[in-house]
Amino acid sequence: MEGSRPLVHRWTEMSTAFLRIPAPLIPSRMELTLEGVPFVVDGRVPHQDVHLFVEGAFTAFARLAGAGVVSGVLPASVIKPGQAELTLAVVTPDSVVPATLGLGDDQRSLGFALQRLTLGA
Amino acid sequence: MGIWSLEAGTPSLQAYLASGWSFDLPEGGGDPAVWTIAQEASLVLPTPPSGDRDVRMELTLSPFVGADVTHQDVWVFFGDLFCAFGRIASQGVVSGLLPRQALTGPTFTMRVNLPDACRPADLGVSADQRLLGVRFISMSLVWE
Repeated sequence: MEGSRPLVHRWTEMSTAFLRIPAPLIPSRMELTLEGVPFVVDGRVPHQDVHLFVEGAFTAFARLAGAGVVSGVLPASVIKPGQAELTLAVVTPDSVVPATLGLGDDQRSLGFALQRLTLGA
Repeated sequence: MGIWSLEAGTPSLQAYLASGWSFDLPEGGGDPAVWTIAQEASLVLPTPPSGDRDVRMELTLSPFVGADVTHQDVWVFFGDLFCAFGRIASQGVVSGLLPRQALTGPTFTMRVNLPDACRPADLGVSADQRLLGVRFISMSLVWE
């Protein structure tokens, strides 16, 4: 919970998940931060490696064993004047299908639950 | 819609293999065995005439697995730009969209990174000393 508002999240459901966000109007040095929670299971899945690419360019990496952030500076080359959107790829090589661990019926390959994305100068 | 494809049996395949690949013709005939033999293998491919359209890449591969090696992680980059990731335990497809920035010249370079590549001899499963990762089955580029 954050104040009285519940934090919603969206899981990555495959080892590679994509999302598109509006591109900054003016190309400049920007920092991209993803906040969220990894799919971990005591004694079985200790952490998730999260690789972040923007327009294909490596932007950030984090190994998360609990709630945390994946943050990096956007490579200047990825933002072009007039570009409407940026494509983000979130790669979680160790994503796991909970059902294969005997944890319910969920057949999705869970890696990282995104709670907040921030793009700022 | 446009499609450009390569298969292990394509006669011109060898011309696209830039580095890190084997190309072994079987004695009895048939398609060549095309394995990655390094932790990075690359192909140089003609840029598809896709214009402004998105191009989807599908790479069908068969992993080297044996003993304690249960899968191969496959990272695909075009130049330095990420395109796709897949963890394959049996023959499967690794797919993704080509980054448009990579498609500016007459050709482009596809790099396949294989951090889990290993030598069969080290695993005791054969005398093969090569660093095997995945066997190339086919590849296609598709644009709408």
